[in-house]
Amino acid sequence: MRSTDTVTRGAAVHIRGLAKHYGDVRAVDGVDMTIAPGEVVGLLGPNGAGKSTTIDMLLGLADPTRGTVSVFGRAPRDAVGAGLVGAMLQSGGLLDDATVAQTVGLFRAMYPNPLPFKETLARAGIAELAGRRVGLLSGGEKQRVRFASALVSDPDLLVLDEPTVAMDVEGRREFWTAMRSYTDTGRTVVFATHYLAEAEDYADRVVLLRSGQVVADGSVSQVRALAAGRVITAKIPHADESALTTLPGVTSVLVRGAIVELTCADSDRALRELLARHPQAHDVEVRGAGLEAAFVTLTRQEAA
Amino acid sequence: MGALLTFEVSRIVRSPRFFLFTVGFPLVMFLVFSSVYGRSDPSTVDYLMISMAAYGAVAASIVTGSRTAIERQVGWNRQLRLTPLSSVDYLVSKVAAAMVVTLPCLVLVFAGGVLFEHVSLGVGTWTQLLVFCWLGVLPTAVLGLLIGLLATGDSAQAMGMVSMLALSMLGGLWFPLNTLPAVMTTVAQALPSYWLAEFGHEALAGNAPSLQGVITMAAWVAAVGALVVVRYRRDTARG
Repeated sequence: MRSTDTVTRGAAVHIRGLAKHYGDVRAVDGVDMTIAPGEVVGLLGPNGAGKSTTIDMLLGLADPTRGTVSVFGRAPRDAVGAGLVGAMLQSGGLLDDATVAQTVGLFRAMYPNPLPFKETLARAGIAELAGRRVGLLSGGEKQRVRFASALVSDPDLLVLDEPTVAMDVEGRREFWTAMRSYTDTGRTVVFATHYLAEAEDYADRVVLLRSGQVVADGSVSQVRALAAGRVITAKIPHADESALTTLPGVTSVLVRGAIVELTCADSDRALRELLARHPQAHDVEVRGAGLEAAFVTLTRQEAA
Repeated sequence: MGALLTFEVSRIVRSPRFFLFTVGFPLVMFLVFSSVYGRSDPSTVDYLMISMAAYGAVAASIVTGSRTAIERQVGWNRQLRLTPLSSVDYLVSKVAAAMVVTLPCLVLVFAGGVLFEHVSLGVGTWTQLLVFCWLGVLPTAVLGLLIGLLATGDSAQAMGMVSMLALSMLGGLWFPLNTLPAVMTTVAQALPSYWLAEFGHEALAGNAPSLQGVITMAAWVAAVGALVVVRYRRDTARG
């Protein structure tokens, strides 16, 4: 393989003390992260957490205010120029009046050793769309054209900013199947997403950002464990939110009509008290907190 | 670099609106004007042919460049920056694309002159006419790109239209300058549109372009080109 030596030379991505300030706004505020070759990393965080800004700096589209980013030991612009990095930006980036073949063909022509044209289209699942104008494609199809454009240099690092945002469920599934076959070849992937289930299913490692800082970094199960606890759901007619908040072991309460959702640090105690104090509670369920609960706890806790 | 040029040209050429309004309109105006004013005097037909060809060339080159604003708005330029394409390749390809698509505007008006208005010139004169006029498009091709880099998607069309009308009217492409106060000639001589038509008139008379014209054109290319480079740098460093 052409790029194996590059991959083994060290970290795929090395970020130290990275900050980006826009006036008083600290979009990214001291991020450290090292990504090994072959890792699939999900970048999570609420809107404005600094995901896109971090990605822009990783790709050399924005210059850091402080700190450094290196990609395969090079400056981001150099790595991009050498075809080591493929990227799929959040939206846009395509021209409606060009055909799929023209668009992918143009990107191919910019690299010295691109993937074969047909293989690029096939990997992105758009072989049958080659002659279509981009403006006539669905959101999911456009996204796969962006994916093809990112794959065209056969990059060692693939960076995806909200890759499935415009896709329906089926499109999302197909997209990740295509991604899987790419990551199975040992390539490095960094993706930002709002869909926690995607991070849970496809990332080896999750980095949680809040207010421009890393609040959690580890495997999905490690991050999930950071928000140790369980969630109790029950139907309680005329539930009183403030009364539920006083239950022992409960960290947060969500009331939707008769349905109550209690996030608990100690679900056993909470459950005993719940049933004692609210005998009318029924359809009670207790489940382990998913990544979503960890996400909510970790990003809320510190905001308070 | 050739790839981006081919890509640009094929996108523009496939646009029916471009052909109808930008390429077709100057030809129609030429035929209308010459049937009204040119019946008695063949030299008026020649004059109108060159003025309308110049107008078409100014319009096509500015319209093409100003489309860049929409491309920037949809994030196309960010996407291009994720490739090894250099800034120089990008800017040169954009200007070259505007030059290439301007060629049919010139050819069509000249063909109209031959087919409908019995303009008869030697092959050498036609070649000279086409080459000089075409080279004279360079300043407005660069200017169109500047508009595309400055404007937003919404304002680009208006900015392009105003520049195109100002250049063609003040440059004497719509009204003969000798019917206007002398100061208008002084103004016109500072504009690339005036010299584009002048290059054509000179070619018709068998002369090379005047030194004043070449210097004025070169100054426009240098000044607007410098602004393009400054603006492009600022646009890419905005992150």
